[in-house]
Amino acid sequence: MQCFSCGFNVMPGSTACGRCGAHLALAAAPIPITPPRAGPFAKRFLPGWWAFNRRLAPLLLAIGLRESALPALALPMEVVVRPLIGIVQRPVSWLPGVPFLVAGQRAPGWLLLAVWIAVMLLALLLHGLPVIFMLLIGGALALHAASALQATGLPSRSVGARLAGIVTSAVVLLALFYVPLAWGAMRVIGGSWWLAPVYVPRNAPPLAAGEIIWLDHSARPQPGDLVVTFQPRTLRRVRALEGQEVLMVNGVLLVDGVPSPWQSDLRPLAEGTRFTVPDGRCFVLLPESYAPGEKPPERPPLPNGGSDWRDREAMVRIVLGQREILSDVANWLPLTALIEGRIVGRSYPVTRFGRIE
Amino acid sequence: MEKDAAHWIRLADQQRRSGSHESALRFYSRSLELDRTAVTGWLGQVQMLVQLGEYPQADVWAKKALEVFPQHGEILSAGAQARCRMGSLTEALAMSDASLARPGESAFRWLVRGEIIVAQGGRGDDHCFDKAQILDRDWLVPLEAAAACLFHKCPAKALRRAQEAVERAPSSPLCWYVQGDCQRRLGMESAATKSFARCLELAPEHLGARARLAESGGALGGLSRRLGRLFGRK
Repeated sequence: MQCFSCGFNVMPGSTACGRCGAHLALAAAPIPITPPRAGPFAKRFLPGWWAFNRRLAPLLLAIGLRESALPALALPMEVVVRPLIGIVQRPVSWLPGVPFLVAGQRAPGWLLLAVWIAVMLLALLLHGLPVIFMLLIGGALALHAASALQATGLPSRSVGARLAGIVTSAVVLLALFYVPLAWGAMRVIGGSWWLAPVYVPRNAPPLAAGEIIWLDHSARPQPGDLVVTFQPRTLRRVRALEGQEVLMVNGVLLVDGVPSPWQSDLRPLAEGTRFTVPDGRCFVLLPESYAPGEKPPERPPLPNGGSDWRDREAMVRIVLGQREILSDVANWLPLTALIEGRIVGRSYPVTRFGRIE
Repeated sequence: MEKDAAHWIRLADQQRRSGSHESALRFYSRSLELDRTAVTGWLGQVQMLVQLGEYPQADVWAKKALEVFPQHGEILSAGAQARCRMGSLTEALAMSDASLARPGESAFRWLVRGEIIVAQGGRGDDHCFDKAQILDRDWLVPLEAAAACLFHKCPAKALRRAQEAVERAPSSPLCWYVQGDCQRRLGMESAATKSFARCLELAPEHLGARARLAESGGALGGLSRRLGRLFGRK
């Protein structure tokens, strides 16, 4: 059996030529008669991208020429400009490991991609531990930057140059990849532009100290929503909205004449209390600390702010500043000014991941 | 009569010389289907994909071809051409270097080298194109050089090569068409009109030349009408 590329006599059954490395199996593989063609998306958008690349390429080469002419300028140009333009120019570098795969180095490519995915997953699982989370994300970013550097073609002139290149790549990737990714994830999870994590410093049933909750800053609270107020940060449940009539009869909270589904922790309201929530405000109370239908446990009268996060002095200051407030734990809050956001869910610990009702 | 790979390659070359790159690509594919060890089929396929603007596909097929023919000079050059058209000049240069380092010489390798230099905006493309024309006296070589220069928006350089192609093959409508295109881009409207007209004489069904002629005729006609009105003629 002869290699059709170099004429070398190869052993029968070999898949590659021993001398030139020609792929003998591929030569015997069927080839589609219809040649591969670009799809409509590629036909529409890629020519513009290539034209941009062709305009940019001489500039890059000019930078390369200047590097050789002025060695003193070589390092900053090499480590700053080339990764910056290279990463923007080559979308293949936006995923870790892929530049290696494209270059035909399968083992390091897949290994890098797998390690990066593992580190990112671990970081997501442990995002409640800030130091560990930052270390893991930093590691993932460093891996990604090293991979991107492979795509930019930065020569490893020295360890310092390579490290500086990795730092530049990391900054570019942070701006191009990680920030948009985090933003997109927040959009997907919360459906809001302003979803942010908040660390719970103390026990505040149904939240526990050390948990991480997600606040939706933009959504308008609805009755039943758990909300966090500004300064001091307190946890409240919205019981009624503006224009609704609140009435306390026989220990039952009626909103517009209908018993509210949230009947717990009504102690601040005296029997017979009746009022209409003013415009632009909502009526909030402490959230219930027990399951719906369960009898409320007997508790001492709110030591040090009770089941919220503030200290008593801060609470009193807020109370004095708001004339509409009924007591220290029940008040009318302006819908926008004093409510920091609606609690969407809990992400840490992972065992309690989910929505908070 | 059974049609073998050589038959389809012959047909593909004919189509390529008439400017029908789409048909040429199909015929090269047919030849490959019959004989996957023919480097001409692989090379032609990649070259036609480049001519049709399908650069990523050309790149993929160049890689496939390189698996079958490792370090083949012409295929390396074809891959370099695809990369060059996509703007990856550094990689294109590296591939072109590798191709020129392979034993043997061919016009296509120097043609691609010249195109990369044109894309860089550097000097030395003339040397490469001249070298290509010395290695192969076929009129397709200067014509493809002209097409490459036109692609990289260098119509003056392209015109020189197109004129050489016309001198070598005055009966080829494709040469006249490319020359007309260069002249049109340089603003030489009357010369372009003559070139397109000559192309139409040689190939009356040449749609490109007909369209260009209509465009230039329309523009000139409109201008003459306006001038006539200006001087009181109806």
